[in-house]
Amino acid sequence: MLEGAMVRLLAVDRENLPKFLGWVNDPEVTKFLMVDPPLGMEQEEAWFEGLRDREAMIFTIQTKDGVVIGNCGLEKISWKDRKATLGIMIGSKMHWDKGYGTDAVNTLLRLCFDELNLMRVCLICDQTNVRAHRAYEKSGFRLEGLMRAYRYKNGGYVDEVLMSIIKPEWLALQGRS
Amino acid sequence: MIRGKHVGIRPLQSDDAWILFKWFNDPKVIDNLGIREPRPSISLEEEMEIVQDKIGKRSVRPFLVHDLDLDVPAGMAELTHIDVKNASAHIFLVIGEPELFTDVFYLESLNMVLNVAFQSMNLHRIEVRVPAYNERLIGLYLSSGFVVEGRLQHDHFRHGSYVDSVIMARIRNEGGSI
Repeated sequence: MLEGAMVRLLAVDRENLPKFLGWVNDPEVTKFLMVDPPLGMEQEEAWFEGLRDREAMIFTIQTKDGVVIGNCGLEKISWKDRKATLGIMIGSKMHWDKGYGTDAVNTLLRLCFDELNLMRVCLICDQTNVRAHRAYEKSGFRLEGLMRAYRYKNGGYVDEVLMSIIKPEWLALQGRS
Repeated sequence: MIRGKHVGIRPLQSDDAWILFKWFNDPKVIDNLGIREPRPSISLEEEMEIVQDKIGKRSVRPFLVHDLDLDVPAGMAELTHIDVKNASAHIFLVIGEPELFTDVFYLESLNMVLNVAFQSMNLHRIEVRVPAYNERLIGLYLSSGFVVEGRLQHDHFRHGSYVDSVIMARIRNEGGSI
C-alpha cells in the first residue's frame, strides 16, 4: 500500500472489477480516455488477467476513509530505458475536482522516482481535457508534443498531448536536486 | 512480393530469422536505431522467437525489403501498434545492408510500406519515433511528408546516457503523394 496525503494506492484486486466496469461504461468518465465502451465483465477480467503478462503496475485509489474512487498505474514500463507511461481514472464523479487525482499522481511519481528508480514518466491526455492538463502541470509534467489525429471519437479524429517529467525535474520541484 | 521501381516488399516469414540475426548483430546497423535498438547482440534463437511472435500478432505487419536490382534482401520494415479503431500504427524501417542504405532506396521502401498502410489497410495516422541524434533519418521522414510533433526528453538509454527521441507522424492525405 502507498500512502498519499488524501488517498492510498492498493494493488488492484479482482473484487474491484465490478466497480471498474461501471466506470468504463460511463460516457462521462471515459469522454477523454483511451477506452472504448461498451465493455463487458469478461473483457474486464481479460484486462485484469493480462496485467500479469505485461510490464504494468495498476493500483486501486482509495480515500483515507476507505472509499474506492478510481484506479491508476504504470504501463509500458521499460527497465532498460527506466521509463513508464502513467494512467489514471477517477471513476467516482463526486470525487472530481477535489485534489484526489493530483494526490494519486504525486504518490505514483514518488513510487516511480524514489522506489522504482525510473528516469522518465510520460502520459498522453486528450487535448481538450483542460482539467487534467492543469492537474498534470501541477504535479510537474511538461508538454512535450501534440499528436495529431491520435484517437477517433464522436465522429472525428482528436489530438492528444504528450507530457512528461524526468527525475531531475521532479527532484528540483521538491528542492532535492 | 509487391514490386516498386528498385524496391520490393513481401511479408516476413519464419526463415528470415537468419538474415535478421545477421543484421541485428551488426553495430553499423543497430547503432542508430534508438529506442528500437534491440540489444547489443541477439542470439539466433531469440531472433526466431521474435519473428514467430511478430508473424502471429494482429497488431504487427512485418515485411522483408528486397533490392530488386541486385535481387537480394536489403532490410526489414514493419507496421506495429496497429490500432484498427483509431486507424493508426507506428512504422519502422531498417536497411540491414549498410552499402545499400541510400536516401533514394530508403524513401522508396518507406513509400511502399506507407502505401500498404494508407491504400490497403485504410489507416489514417502513421507515427515514427526517431532518435534525436539521427539527423539523417529525421530528414528522410521529413522528405516523406512526416511532420515533427514533439521531442521526448530522456526517451532511451544509449552509450551510457539518456537521449531524446523525436516523434513524427504522417496523416493520410496530408503532404506527399500517397
